[in-house]
Amino acid sequence: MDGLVDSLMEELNCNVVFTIPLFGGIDVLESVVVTWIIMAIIMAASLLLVRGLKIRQINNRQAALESGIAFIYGFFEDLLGEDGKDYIPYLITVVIYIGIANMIGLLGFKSPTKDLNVTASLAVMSIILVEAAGIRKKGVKNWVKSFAEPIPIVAPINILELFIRPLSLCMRLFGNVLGAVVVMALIKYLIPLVIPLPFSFYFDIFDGIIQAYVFVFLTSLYIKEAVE
Amino acid sequence: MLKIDFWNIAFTIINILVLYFFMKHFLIGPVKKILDDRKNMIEHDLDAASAAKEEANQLKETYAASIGAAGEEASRIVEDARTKARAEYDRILSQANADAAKKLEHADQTISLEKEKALHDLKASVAELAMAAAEKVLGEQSGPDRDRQLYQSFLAESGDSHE
Repeated sequence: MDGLVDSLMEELNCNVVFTIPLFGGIDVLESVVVTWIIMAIIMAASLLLVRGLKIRQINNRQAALESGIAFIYGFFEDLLGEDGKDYIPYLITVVIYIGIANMIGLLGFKSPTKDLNVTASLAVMSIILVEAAGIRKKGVKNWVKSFAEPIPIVAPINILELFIRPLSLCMRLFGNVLGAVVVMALIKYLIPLVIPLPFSFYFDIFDGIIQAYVFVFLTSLYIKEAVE
Repeated sequence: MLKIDFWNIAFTIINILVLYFFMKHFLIGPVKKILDDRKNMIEHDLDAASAAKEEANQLKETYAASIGAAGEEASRIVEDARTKARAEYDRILSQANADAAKKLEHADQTISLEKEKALHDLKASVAELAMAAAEKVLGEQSGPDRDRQLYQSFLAESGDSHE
């Protein structure tokens, strides 16, 4: 039992990798370092993939890349409509990042999304994006007025939503990934052989993709609502 | 795990923003540009194709019209040629007929002239022959006997008539 607790704590803790000797020492957490690794992977992959794009007579690599991007792009385009087109690249970036972050546990890294700091940053960025989209579309005055819609009495609830939405985004993602890790640790502790494999497929791959999807889906719904 | 750390939130936000700008300029941008370019190209090609089709149809109509006109022209030319040929045929035939008639007439005239001439010649010959024969007869039996015989016969003939 002590082994289980130790391994769980090891899984759940986000260690400090190194400390920047500024302002009395800034701890850089594992999640940030793993994010750098993910960024390196994504950047290298995109540089490799976009080499020599052509309009005609494309090769299989380009066909796969195009259909992949077109699929994700079309998905967000359907959700956001013409007004929200500018936010699609950000949402694509986030869905790819969260997707990889949720699955990178398979490669032996700790998922950055298991760290509340990461999910909180993502949620904060989402809500800033949503409100910025609303201000950009309606102007500051109308944006402020939109809190009193449909009737002024709901204004406090609408203002509360400003905090509830990012909190729910943050906690949903964090809780799902954390829960998956805990369940996987328990399964691995009980039956270390073969049985964890299908569960790993579910918790690491399927759930990872679903959570990435849910996060950007909700964000785009909020953006859609804000620009309407 | 549940420790909120300002610096790490800031790092993560910077990371995501860097990743966003990178992705926007090096992955999504180029791919989207290619997709848009292709879409434009396809639209442009489709427009060009329909324009070309329209033009081809117009040309086809023009050709059909000119072919019809050419057929008409050809049949007109043939008809014209046929009419001319018939006129020429008629003309040649009538001329030939006239020539033949003229020649026939000429021949008739010649024949009658020749006939006349031959008759004339014959008359001349007959007179000559008669003269010769008379001469011969006179030459052979000239003399008193003959004269008397002649006289006698003359007398006989005239006597008969006077009786």
